Formats: sequence, C-alpha cells, structure tokens
Amino acid sequence: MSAGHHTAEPGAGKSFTFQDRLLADAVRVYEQHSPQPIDDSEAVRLANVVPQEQKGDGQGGDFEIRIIRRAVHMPVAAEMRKELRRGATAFRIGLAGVVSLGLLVGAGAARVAIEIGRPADPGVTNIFAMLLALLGIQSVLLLLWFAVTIVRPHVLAVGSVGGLAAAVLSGAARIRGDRTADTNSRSVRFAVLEAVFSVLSRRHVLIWLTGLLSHGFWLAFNVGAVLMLLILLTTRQYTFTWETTILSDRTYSQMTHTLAALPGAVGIPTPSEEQVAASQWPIDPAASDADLTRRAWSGFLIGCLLIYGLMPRGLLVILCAWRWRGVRRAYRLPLDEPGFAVLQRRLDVDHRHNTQPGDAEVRVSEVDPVCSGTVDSTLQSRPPGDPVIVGLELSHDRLPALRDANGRSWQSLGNVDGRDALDEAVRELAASPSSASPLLVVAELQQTPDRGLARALTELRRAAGSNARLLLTGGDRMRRQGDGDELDRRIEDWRSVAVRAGYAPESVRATDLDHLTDASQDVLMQWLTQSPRQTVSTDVNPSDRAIALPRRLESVFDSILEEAGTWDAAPDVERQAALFRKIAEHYKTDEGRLRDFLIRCRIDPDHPPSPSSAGKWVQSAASGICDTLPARLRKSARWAAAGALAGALGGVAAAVLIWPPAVAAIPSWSALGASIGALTQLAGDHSRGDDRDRHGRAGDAETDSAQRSDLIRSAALYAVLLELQGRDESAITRMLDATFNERDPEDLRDIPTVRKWLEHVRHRFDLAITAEAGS
Amino acid sequence: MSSAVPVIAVVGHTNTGKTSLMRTLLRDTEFGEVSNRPAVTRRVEGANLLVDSRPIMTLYDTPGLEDSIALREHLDRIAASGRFKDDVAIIECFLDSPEAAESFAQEARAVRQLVRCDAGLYVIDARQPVLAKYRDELAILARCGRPIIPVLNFVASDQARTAEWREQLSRLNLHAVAEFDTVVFDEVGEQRLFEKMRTLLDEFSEALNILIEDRGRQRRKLIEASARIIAEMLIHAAAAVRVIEMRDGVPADGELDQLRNDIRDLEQKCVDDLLESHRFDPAICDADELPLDNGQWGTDLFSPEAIRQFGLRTGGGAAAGAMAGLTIDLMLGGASLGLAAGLGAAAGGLLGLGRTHGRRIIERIRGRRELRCDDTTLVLLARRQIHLVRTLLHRGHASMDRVQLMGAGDGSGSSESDCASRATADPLRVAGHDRSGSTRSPRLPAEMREARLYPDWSAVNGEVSRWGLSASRRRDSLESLAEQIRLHLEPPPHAATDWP
Repeated sequence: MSAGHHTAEPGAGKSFTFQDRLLADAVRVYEQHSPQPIDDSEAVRLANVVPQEQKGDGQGGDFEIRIIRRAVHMPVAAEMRKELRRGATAFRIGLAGVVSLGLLVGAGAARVAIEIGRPADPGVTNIFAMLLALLGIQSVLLLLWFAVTIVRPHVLAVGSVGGLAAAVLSGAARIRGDRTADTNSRSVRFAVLEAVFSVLSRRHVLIWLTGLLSHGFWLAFNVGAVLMLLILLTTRQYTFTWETTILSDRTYSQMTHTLAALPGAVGIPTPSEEQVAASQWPIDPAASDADLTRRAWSGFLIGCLLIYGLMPRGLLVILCAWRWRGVRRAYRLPLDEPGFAVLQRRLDVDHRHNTQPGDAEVRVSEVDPVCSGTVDSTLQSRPPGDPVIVGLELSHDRLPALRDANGRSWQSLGNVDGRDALDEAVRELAASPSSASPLLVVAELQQTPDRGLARALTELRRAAGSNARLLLTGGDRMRRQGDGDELDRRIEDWRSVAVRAGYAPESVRATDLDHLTDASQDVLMQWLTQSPRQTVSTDVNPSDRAIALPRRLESVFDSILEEAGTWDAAPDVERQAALFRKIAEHYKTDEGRLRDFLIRCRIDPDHPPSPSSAGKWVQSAASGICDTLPARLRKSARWAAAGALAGALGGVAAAVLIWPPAVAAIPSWSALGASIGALTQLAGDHSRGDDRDRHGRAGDAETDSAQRSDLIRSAALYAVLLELQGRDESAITRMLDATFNERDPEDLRDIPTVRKWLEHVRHRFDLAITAEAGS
Repeated sequence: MSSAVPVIAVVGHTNTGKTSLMRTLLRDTEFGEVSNRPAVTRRVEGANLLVDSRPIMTLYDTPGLEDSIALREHLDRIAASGRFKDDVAIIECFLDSPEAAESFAQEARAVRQLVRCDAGLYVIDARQPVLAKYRDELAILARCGRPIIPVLNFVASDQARTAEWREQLSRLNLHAVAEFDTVVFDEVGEQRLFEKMRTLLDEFSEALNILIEDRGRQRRKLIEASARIIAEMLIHAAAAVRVIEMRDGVPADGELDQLRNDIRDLEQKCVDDLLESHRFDPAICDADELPLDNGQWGTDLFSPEAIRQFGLRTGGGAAAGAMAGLTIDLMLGGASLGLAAGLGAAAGGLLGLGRTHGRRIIERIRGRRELRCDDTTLVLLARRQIHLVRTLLHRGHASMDRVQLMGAGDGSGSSESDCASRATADPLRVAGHDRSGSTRSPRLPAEMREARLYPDWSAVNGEVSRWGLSASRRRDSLESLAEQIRLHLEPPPHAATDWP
C-alpha cells in the first residue's frame, strides 16, 4: 500500500492501488451523504484528460480509471488520504497488538501449562495434560475455521467475527468521531470508514482478513509458547510424567509414538518405548537415564508445538496474507453502485471528432439558379383557362374534387412523383390551350420541403403562369405522428421554399383536406377564386369566416355560470351532459360549427354513432380535441383532462343536436355514458352518488370541488372551441394557446371565482382574436 | 483485439434522422444538431463508438440528400458524355466536376464521404411513402460501390409503412434492411443493425462481435444500476419519519409539508440520478414540469388523483382528503416495544437499535407522534420510478420530447411522444385501469415494511447507519429490493405488470 503523497498526476502511467480505489469509494459515499452537490468540474476535467499510453484494465475498463482519477482530484481527496493513512496505521498497530497479545498469551499459557502436573510435587509436569492445554484449544479452533471458511463460507460474512470486529472498530470510530467539532472532517472520516467497511465486509475479503488476524494471533501464541518453554526448559529442571485411570498404558505409548512420528522425522529427539513406559507415574527416581528421558520429552514437547501448532498457523498466515494481497489487487470498484453509475455521462470519453478539417460548412445557395423569383411576363398576360390541380409527392393519389365558383370542375393532373411525372405535368400545363390556368399544387406537410421539391414547384409555376398556389395538407396526420408542435414552423419552411420558387406568400395556405369541413371548404374556395394580389389589398382576412358569424361566447359563459350555480355537490353525468348540451344549443343556428367540431374530433359528421362503436367514438372525440390543444396545455394533466372531457361530452352534445333521431336511438347514454363516466373519473371525480356517504367529509368536499373545477374548465374550453370553428386549425391552436393558461387557479371553488376566471378567459380570447386579425 | 475498425457513413434524404441515428447509437444526446427541418446538418461530422474507451467503429454523419432527381439526371448526363470503366468512375467524375462544389454541394459531401467509408447506412423515414426521389437516391448511392444498409427509422410510429418499404427495397436488390427507431429505442433492433453490418462487412466481424457483446453487457449493467438507485430511494423514503407534536389531534401543517418536501427531494434526486446513468440530460425532466416541485399540479405526488391514476385506492377517507397521502403512523408504543424486544433478543441487544426504540418510547410518553409516508405513496413512488426507467430504456438518445414522471401503469410511455400526453390522449384506458385496479390495496414488499422500523436507514432522519447489525440488514434489504425491482425493469413496457 503506497502511503506516499500523490502529486501532479496521480496514477499516470501506473495502475491504481487498492488505496486509490478505497479513496474513490469513500468519495462516492461522501457525495451520497453530502447535502449539497460537490463542485467536481475541475476533477472531471482532469479525469477526462487521458494520457495517450493509458490503457484500460479489467472489466470496468476505462470508466473505472476515470472514476478513480476524478476521485483523486476531488477537493476532499487530500483529507481522505490522510484518513486512509491513519486507518492503515491503525490497522498495523492493531496487527502489532494482536501479535504481541498472542506472544504474551502464548508465553503465559506455556508458563501455566508446564506447572500442570501433581500440585504436590513442583517440577513434575504432566506431559499430555500440558499438550492438551497448549494444542487442544487451538486445534479445535483451527478445525472450526476450516469448517466455516471452506465448508460454509457465508456463515462468516454475517457471523460473529466480522460483525464483532466491525462493531468494536465502529464504536471506537464513533467515539473518536463525536469528539470532532468540525462536521466536514467528521463526514470525511465516516465516508472513509464506510467505504473501508463496505469493502472489508465482502465475503471473500473478510475471510482472508479475519484469517490473517486470527492465524496471526495463534502464530504469535505458538511462538510465545515455544519461546517460553525453551526458556523454562533451559533454566529449570522438570520431570515429565503421565498417568491415567481408565486408559491402558499401551494407548499412551501408541499416542506418543504417533505424535512423535513427524517431529522425529525432522530429527527432533523423541522418547523411545522404554522411556515412555518409564515415565508413567510414579516415576522411579533411581532410573538410570533420567536425563536422557527428560531431554527426549523436551524434544517431543517442543516438536509437537512446532509441527502441530506453529507450522500450520504459519502456513495459513502466509496463505491469508497472499490471498489478502490478491484480493486487494483484484478489487475493482462496484461500478453498478448508484453513486458511480451517475458519473457515466460526465466521465464520457470524448468520442466526437471532426473530419475533413478543411471542410467549411456547405453553403446552400439561397437563390437556386433554377428558381428565379421573377414572374414570366409573357405567361402572365395569357387569358385564364381551366383551373388545374396537381399533387406533389403525395402519399396517396386522392386529390379533392374541387369546383370553382362557376361550377366548372378543376382538371386534375394527378400526383407528380419523379422526373417523368413532372415532365409530363409540365408538358400538359404548357400545352393547355388557354395557358395561364389557375394552378393549385397540393403538397403534404409531412414532407420536408427540400431543394428537389422547390425545383418541382418552380417548374410547375413556370408552366402554369403566375397564378399558381400551393395548398399544404396533412396537418392532422403530422399531429398524430407527434409533430404537432412543429406544424407552424413546417408551414413557414414550405412558405419560404415556395416564395423562392416564385410563389406569392399569400398563395400558400395550409388546409387539411383529410378533414375538410364545410367552413374550411368555403374558405378554401374563396381563397382560390381570389387572385393573390387582391388578397393582399383587402384588409379582411378571408380565412376568418368565423368573424362574420355572430359571437356567442358571452351568453355561453353566462349559462355556464348559471348552471354552475345550481350544483350543490359534484354534478353527475346527467348534469354534465346537460351543461354541454346547453352550450351546444347556443350554436344550433349555425350548425356548421357543430359539424366542424365533430370533424375536429375526427368524427365523420355524416355517420352517427352506433351503440357498438360508442366507446371508440368517445375516445376518438376525446383524443381529437386533446391533439388540438397546444403543447403547453396538453402537457398539463388538468388541461389534457379538460380537453378529453370537452371532446367527449361536447362531441355527444353536438351529435345530439345534429342527428337527434339517431342518437335518441342509443338507449339513454347507456353505452356512451359508461365511457364518459370513465372519462370523468379521470378528470377528478371519484365520489359519485352512492359512494359519497362512505367517504370522510373533508375528502369529499375536496374532490367535489376538483371535479367541478374540471367540468367548468372543459365547458369553457368547449365554448371557445365552438366559437373558433371555421378558422384555420393552426390558428385555433394558436388562439387556444393565448386564451387558456395552465397557471390559472386550479380550484374554481365558488361562483365568484368561476365568474372571475371566465372573465379572464374572455378577455384573453379578445386579445387573441385581435392579435390573430393583426397578423 | 484487431485494429481494423469499420468506418461507416450515415446517409439519407434530408430530415430523415441521420443525426438522430448517430445520437442514438452513440448514446450522446448532444451530438450534432437535430431539428425537424431540412438541411440542419451541413457538414460531415464523425464520432467513434467506444468499447472500454477504444474506438470499435467510426460513424460519419453527412448532410442530407435533397435534389436527387436532378443529381441523377446529372449523373446520367455524365455517363452519356464519355466512356467510363464503371459506376464508381462516374461518381468520381462527378465529384471532380464544378457542380459538385455548386448546385450539388450538399449531395457531393454525402457521396464523397460514402466513397471514403467501408459502408453506408441509408436512413429512411418509414412514415414517408416510397417516392421517386428516394429510389433515385438509392440508385445514386448504389453507384458508389459500397455496401448500403437501409435503416428504417420511425418504425415504431403507427404511420410507418414498413412493409411497403421492405417490398420496394427488395425490388432494388437491398435485402439486408434494418429496422431501428432512433426515438423509440429497441435493443434488439440495434443488435440486428450491427448484425447486418457484420454480414456485409466480413473483415470487421470481430470488431462488430465485440460491439454487440458490449452493448448487451452495458445494458444489463444499466438495469442493475437503475434498480439500485430506485431501491436506495425507496428505502430512504420508507424509513423517513418525523417526530411531531400534535395540536388538537392533528399535526401542524408545517410538519406535513416538511415530510412532503423531503420525499420530493428524494424522488427528484432519484430522477436526476436515473437520467444521468442513462446518459440523458437531467434537464429533459424539467424541474418546472416535475409535479413534485409544485403542488398545484394535478399530478402532484400526494394528490388523490395521482394516486388513483396508478390504479391504487387510498386506504380510507383520511388519506384521500386533506392529509393528501400522508397518514399518521400510530404504530408506536406497544407494537414497536414488542418489536424492539423481539429483535433485541435476536440481536443480543444491539446498542443502536435499542437506543432508537428507546427514544421512540420516550417520545410517545411525551405525547409526540411519528409521521411518515403512507404505503400508497410509497407504492406510487416505486411505480413512477419503475415507469420512468422503462421509458428511458426505450428512449432513443435522439428523442427531443420531455420525460414526465406521471403516467399510468399501462406503460404506454414507449411511444415517441411522452408518456403523459399518451396517457391522457388515451383516457379510457387509464380510466379503465383505474376501475379495475381500484379494489386492490397496495402491499409493500417486505423490505420496505422492514425499513419502516429502522429510522436510521433513511437520510431524511439524519445520518444513515453504516455499521452494525442495522446496517448489514439494510444492505441485505437493499439488495433484495433492488433485485425485485430489476426483475420488473426488464420486461418490455407493454408486458409489464405493476409493482409491487
């Protein structure tokens, strides 16, 4: 473990140590517990400066190295290193403590054990009792260790040793930590401790670490015991003996022989058969070779301790130390830890690179050589001919059957897709007897206007003369594919391409032919019969047929207020439907708006719903209106709910007025009602009818009020939608955007609040109308 | 590892999603510029796909082809003007001609890059009909003498004309077609794309194998990390507790708000972390749109509405009403004393545990109560995060939509528009879900119930215990909770069931 100070470029050119990884782990813990995010911009910058020769290593690859590099550059790193060094020192002190304790205990045990003999006769030692005392316990513990480690390793992980060590150390840490007044260094210390413990408590780490400690202790114990024995045997004289009550003499003789086999094999003197027999209590003091017997027994004793105590422990210490070292080297940061995973983006390797350094941006010429904006004067002077309609790269071949004011139908040239079709259309246009035919090019908004389309537009305009218009359709499909918010910009892109192709800005218009309403058809025809120049000169926006229609918003809002005044609790579905029917009735005289509304709901106004399709019908209505809402409102749950409700209830109300007999045939809301009931639930109702009594009063009032607010919002939305029908769809969305605000009060609890809010809505509606007329 | 790295040009008509494809393959939301307009990318830009920080593939983004009809005519004219060895010679002649720097400058960039690369990915907006201009583009690119893999983008859209395109492409003799939506991410689609490249680029098969393997590994890791992030947050939230004084039997308002804010902060951090680990900009979950930041929204975490949207029914009136998702946990005194005793016996009377429970008993004697998040709110928290991760797992890095936390358990968030607008645009499903799920009361997983008993497991209550028995139990609970969540993250969104 390197304890040295890491300077300018830590880790550069060398692989990171275990301590570096501990540091990175500690930084992670520290960040996780830190109340504020830590400024790591400098560390991230330095971490991302990779020396070229640096190679990724192991599974984690370079991401781990970046994490470590970032960690060592963090502001807290220096303090953490200090803390880690302190920890390493503490670990060494602890190890030294364990070793010295082992030595002392071993020596003490040997001192005590050698006195086990016959208490009455000092200097007489019971050899087998002594062996049992010195080797017995540690052998049992050794077997236990093997069992725990090799047979059932997981016992140890949750078992006592690690837990005990952790508890003792953490207790010490807590006491030390609590004394520190500085909270930052306290949390640094805690982070380091947690990181260390989280690493150490991993099973395979813990086994070798605790093994190192426990075998270290017993090794020291044995060393202490052997040393003490040597001292005692050198300086004092002991008589070794053995005795037994139930075992036979043979047993002892054999046991001695077996135990002595290994020590004897390495040349340590061991007692012979006769010596063993002679040593049985009581000893014959007059035995001739008492000295030799003593020496043999001493050798046997020391040999057993060395071979059966010291040697296995020593080997195991070496094994554990080697494994512990291996574990430390193999340790990799747990990269799936949340604290590390979130760094991914910040520590991304820079994978972008610019090629073709000399490549400047392609300059796309604004004026295409083919598309000059000037109008060919010779063509302009030609008399008007049959109006011609042509599709440009449409996704289907259907072109609307249009008739002009005189009842003449427009001649269709079909869908132009590709060089040959374009050439043919151009040829036909140019060959047309009366030339200068009014030309309507129909294109789809889903198409991105590109230079190819611009070229085709130009060629068509040139062939037709000046009176060419561009009609953009498919807005609804574009919205459905999720690009509704881009609609305005797409129209603008098309307009600018058309202008470059020589079209007048007013001769570009977006009308959805898929959902052509009566109103929009009228507007379309009006637009087609006017020449672009006329359009510019008139002040009135021709597209706003709706302006000519009588305005009913005020009276509708009055009836909303009136109706709301009659509710004592949350209105049930019947009353909700009644409110919407009342609103719809205001517009009964211009049925066009109701029909348009249905079209907006993606419902065919000529086909009344059947009971079987009711669910689908309501759903279509709800989602149709939701899609019409501007993105801002659509994303507000409240307004999305109001839109859905307005679509469903409003659609039904409009349908009832358009086809009273057909809808009357649907048995009293049963099919529609169920679907709408589900919808209103979404919109905030959950205490309907019988449920109500079972709920607490406070909660009831709350949901009632929320439900009423939702209903009023959707009613107002419905009214404004009806008022706006007949306009461009993008205009409707724009004006809804200006009229409603997602930050309006959420809770329209009482009549004055409702009145005030409706007043605001009306005011914003007026502003929107004015803004729209001005644009 | 072999040093051979395939170099691929991404070509296609303007605004079909070439830069989007780059972004999604690179997992880089900031590469280039993406906009739904023509000719946004005006220059060739390259980037490497990395495995362990080493480039394994180089991709080049090119400007879109726009006027292919005219270019094809031009090439035909060149072909007619002289004698050329082969098609590539015609292309080379075109690239040297003055037109390549003028009227066809944009197209020339793309064509030149393709000629320099090993292969080309031809990006197709599958929602578009097979128009003549696309056929012309393919004819031009076919002359470059490089293998072309058509990539059908936006296949997840319901307006995709996948079959039509496949039919037309096979007529043009292009059979190795990949379907890969850059907005709605599909890991299998990505793998298939690489496999198709491997088929066509035999000499780079080793690099592509490494890439495919790495992508799978990264994704598994990502799911694991996400599960851990969520589990961590849930443990914090479940263990969060405030000891409060009661006034006339109800807690003071400030206390409720305090806990509410704590829980919101936890969720906010979780959301940020999830977005970061999935390599999305945390800004796509706009703080302004986060329901947690501003209580007036209907999607407020604690509002009965939000809870109902997840098909849960609050336990009783108190939870539905003004308490808004919070309820007083009266599990005090006797219950916790018994628990403390039981656990204490088992744990040998561990100091930390005894201390916290001892304090709770004293609090109880002093007439204080504990306030915590109720089960329904916790379940809602869990489902929202799981839903978020499922959304992110199927979100291409080209996606420009915002992510919203709201959304029903129906998991419709895999669509290209964000889950919230889908959920509301499809109200019947949500409502139906509500009714069907209303009878079920949520049951917390055992790990979270256990977390309730350990105040020292939550950062909301102060420092999280890091050692001792409590910490090791916390670790175990966290792991098994994360494992359960992981299993719920993996199924595709439409097959997913609610958790818990």
